[in-house]
Parts: sequence; structure tokens; C-alpha cells
Amino acid sequence: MPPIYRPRAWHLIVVALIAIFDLGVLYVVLFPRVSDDYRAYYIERSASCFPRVISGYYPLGEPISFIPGRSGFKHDSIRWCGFMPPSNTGVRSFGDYGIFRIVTKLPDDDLLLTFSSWANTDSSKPERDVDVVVNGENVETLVFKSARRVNGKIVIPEQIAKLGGEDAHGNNIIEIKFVVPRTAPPGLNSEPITLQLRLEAMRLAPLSQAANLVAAEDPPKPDLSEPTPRASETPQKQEADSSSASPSSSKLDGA
Amino acid sequence: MDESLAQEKAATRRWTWRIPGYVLLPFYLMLVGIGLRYAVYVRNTGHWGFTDYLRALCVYDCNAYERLALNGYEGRPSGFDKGDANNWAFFPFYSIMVWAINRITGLSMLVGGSILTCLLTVWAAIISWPLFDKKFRPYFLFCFFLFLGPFSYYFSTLYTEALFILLTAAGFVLLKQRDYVTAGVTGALMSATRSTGLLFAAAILIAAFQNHLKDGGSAGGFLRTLWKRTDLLLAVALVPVGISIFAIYLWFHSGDALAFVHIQRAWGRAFSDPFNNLWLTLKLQFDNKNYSTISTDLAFGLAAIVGIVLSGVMAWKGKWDWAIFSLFGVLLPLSTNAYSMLRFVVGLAPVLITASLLAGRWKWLFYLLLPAMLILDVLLLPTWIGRSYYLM
Repeated sequence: MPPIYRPRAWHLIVVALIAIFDLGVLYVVLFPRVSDDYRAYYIERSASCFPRVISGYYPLGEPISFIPGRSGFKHDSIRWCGFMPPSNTGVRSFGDYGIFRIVTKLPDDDLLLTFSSWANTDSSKPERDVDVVVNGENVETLVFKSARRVNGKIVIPEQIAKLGGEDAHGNNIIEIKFVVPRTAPPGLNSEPITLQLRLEAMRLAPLSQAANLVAAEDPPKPDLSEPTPRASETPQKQEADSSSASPSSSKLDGA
Repeated sequence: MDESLAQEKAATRRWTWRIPGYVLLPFYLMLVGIGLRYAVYVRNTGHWGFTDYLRALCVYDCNAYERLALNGYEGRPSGFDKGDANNWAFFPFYSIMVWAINRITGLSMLVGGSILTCLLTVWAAIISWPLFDKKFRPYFLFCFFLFLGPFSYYFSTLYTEALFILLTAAGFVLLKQRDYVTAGVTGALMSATRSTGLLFAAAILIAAFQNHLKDGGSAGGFLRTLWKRTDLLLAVALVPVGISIFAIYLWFHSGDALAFVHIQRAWGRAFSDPFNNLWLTLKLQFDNKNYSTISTDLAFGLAAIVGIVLSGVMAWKGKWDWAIFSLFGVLLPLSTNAYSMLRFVVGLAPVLITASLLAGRWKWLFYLLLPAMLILDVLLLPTWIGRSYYLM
């Protein structure tokens, strides 16, 4: 004898109420109210990092040490996206790029960006290019041929430095982006495997002051000593780089 | 007539005498388990503080559930080294219960939550008795596993496993009793506890179909009378209500109703082929020429295989509602990553019950497993407290 079922009206009433509720749920699922950076990173997955909330404050010309305990500007205020927190080995990139975001009043001058960097590669692997992009313009391509340090010394023309626009207080915004190559297909966590860039120290200074800064202070040890330009080099570099705002591609050897 | 009445009375008396066995057994085992692990903790650390012991047990997601109970859902993601994590991935029902205990009793989240978890586990064990078809040995094994087994810490600190197993067991008991609407309510609570709770909707439909066949109906008859089954319609509609309320809350809180899915990127999770994930997980250590140890990835992969195989056993035994629920309970998290598979498999009540029913068939295996589980419980406790990824 097959079982007999009787429909119940209250079941249907509750189901109808749940269906109305579900329509509301469908609406909120289909129409998220999120910021562009959230959408890019979490929903579309087109970004490889989610920006931190930072002030971007940085006194131009100050050496930044990414290693706790070393001398230099210590506030973690410009590490914006794609770099892990400072550690004993500096800051390490993850994903396709790492970005520093500086908010400051810019002088009417070119800037000199210096830094010391490493990448997780060695001489048995192919050369790895890392693009340095400032405010969307490629200003340099670093080449990592081995596990040795690469000192960056890049002149950022004034017009590129000011491409980033201004904040509500009239401060200029500079985004310095290190774009690293993918080195292997995605692993177990579905994220692409990329070259990991490690920075120990960095400085951004007005070009005209860069030589004076070196002469005036004892640079943070040991890594800013090498990337800081020598006074005799500065004018040549400045001249060469500021002559064109188009992306350049000079190759730096491991130090 | 008198004879049958006497038999009934005898049966009732037997049941009365067995109550301490069936009902109090989990409680006794819980007390023994807590005492044993505390003794191991004191022996290893020299600390006598019981709260320190509870704090030591509270590692990884336990902290997340505790913070959730304390502070609610966080704002803009900023956790982990990548700065992209927060607690939106953690479903609210368990932490709401911990918060309620705190409000009612004044106990700290840690102490109140730990007590709650232990009692939920006891309740889960008691409530699951009808699923053992009156087989005491498997039931004992199941209880022993929960309270004195190698993963007993999931059932004594702030994790959702205890609550989820309780709700799952309750749901399947209700399905067995053909109380679909109440099972649907249980499913709603399940989906407010874990995303895999949604799978209970499928279990309801399958159980209804199987019950229809058991009641003398036919497959065609089930489909023909389906339009009259308003109880089933309501039961299935109820299951997603828990997760839907969470989604609505997240929309107001973060702007993204699916934030609990999207935030999984912080844990390196993205949907893909679960079997490919399983294959990659299983072969990873061999690709790296590691043939001497069992890596965490391999352990997670093996746990997933155990879950899948036991789901197959359930299907073979005709428990298709259990089988589908368990199979997809393994495949759903596996489709994002194999990470934490041990915990996800251990958190599936049908898997544990089926394993107990299997192992409880042989007396020698039963007696072998009891000391083995006890030894593993003792040996793995320091590993757990030491925050081993293995057991996570």
C-alpha cells in the first residue's frame, strides 16, 4: 500500500515567505556594494594583492629600512600592496607586483629612487626581469641573473612623478610598482607562482638633494650605502633619464 | 496477551537499565578525556592552570571563533602577511552560542566555549544512538573516538565540529523518523554553522525517496506524488535560510553577500576540479622526492580519500542520503583546496558513524582500536598544542 500524502496550506505559506526572502538574498548576491579594489582582488581576482590602508606619509630623502632595528625611517606607512610586513630579511613581494604608495609634496625636480633588492632565483635559472613602474610609467627594468643583490638607482622624471595626481590636501601621490614575472603555473592554492622580490632598504629623494644627502649623513648600514648615487654620477644620470619620459630599460648587474 | 505485555515490560526495564550505558557513556568518556588530556598537558608543561590548558588547546581557528564571539565580524580585511584576511569566512551560529553562554553565565568566551563544545559533543553522541541500529560496540567506538580519539581536541575547544556533528546526527535521526520539516529546520542551523550544511537539502530529498520506497511506494509513485509533498518543499526551502541570513548580514556589514566565499582567497582557496586538487595534493611530496615521510599535503589527501571511500560504503549499504551528504561534504572543500581535509572529514557525522559501524563488526578490531586511539590522543596532543599544520 503506497503512502498517501496530504498537502498542507501552512507549508505553502511558509515556503512563499521564504521565497520572498530568497529574492532579497538573490538581489544582495547579484549586487554587491564594494570598493573597486575589493572587487578586483576578491570577486574578479584580477588584482594580485589587496591594498592596505596607509597614510602614505614619507619625508622625501629619508632612507627607509625594511629591517626592524636598523636605522632609517621606520614607519610602515608606504607599503601599500603586494609586499609582506617588514622582517629580518626586509619586505618580500607576493603575487604579480608589489606597490609602494607615497603621499607627499613633490618639489619641482626629478627624483632619485634607490633601493637594494634580491630575488628568489639563482644563476641556474633564466634571467628574470622586474619592471619598475612609477605612476603607470615603466621607468626601469631590473634583471636578476643570480641570487646576488641588485642595487636599483633610478631617476624618476618630474613629469612622471607628478602623474599620480593629488590627494584632497594637495599632496602628490606616487605609486612605485615592482612588476615581477610568473615563474611557474599555479600551485595547490590556485595562485600563480611568481618571482619573489625582496627589498631591504629604499630611498626616494629629489635629485638635486641626493648628492648632499649622501655627503651629509651616515647611511643606514649596510645596504643603502651602495645604491645611493655618488655625487659625480648624479648629474649624468639625471640628464640621461630626464631627457625622455618614455620607459627606459637599462640592465643592472648583481652587486 | 499477558505474555506480550510481560515482554514489553521486560524490554522497557532493559532499556531503563541501559540508559546509563547509552546516555551517560558519552558523559563519562568526556570527563575521562578531559582529565587525561589535562594530565598530559600538566606532565608536558608543568603548568597546573586549567585555563592555561584551555588556552593552549585553543589554536588556529579556535582563536577566530573566540574573537568572533567577542567582537563580531571584522571590518576591512587586513590579516595575515598578505593583509587580505579577516573573520568573514567563519560562519556565525557557533560563535553566537558561545556569546550567549558568556552573556548568560558570565564565563569567559574561552571557558564557556570549551564547556559548550564538550556538552554539544555529549549531546551529539547521545542523539546519534538511533543511527547505530542498536549496535552498542560501534556506538562505543564512536563515543570513544569523539572524546578519547586522535582528534578529540576538535571536540573540546572552540571549533564548530561538535555543533555540526550534533546537527547532522539530529537531522539524519529526524529523516529516519520522517519528520522532514524539523529536519529542514536542523538543516537551516547546519547552513548557519558551515557552508556544507547546505548539502543537507539533497539528503532530505534522497531520504524522502528512500522512505517512500520502504513504505511500499514506487519510484514513479514518488515522482507522481511529489507535487503533494509540501512538507518536503518546506524542508528543502528551510535549509538555505541559515546561510542566507548570514549572506544578508554580510551585505550590510561589508557590502558583499558572498564575502564568506570571496575572503577564502586569503587562505588560497578558489573553486576548481576537486579530483585534480586531490591528485596534485597526493603527488606533491613525491614530485619533491620525499619518499620517507608523510607530508601534510599527503595526509590531507589521504583524509579526503578515506572520506570518499566511506561515502562509497554508505551508498553500498543503501544509505544514499548519508552517502551524498558525505561525498559532497568532502568534495566541496576539496574543490577549493585540500588544506584542512582532516578536520573536514572528521567533522562529518555519517563518516564517523560508518567507520565505527565497520570497525565495530569485529571484536578484535574493536579492542585493537581502543588503545590505539588512546595512545594517539595522548601523543598528538602536544603536536596540536604546538600548532601543527598536520592536524589542522
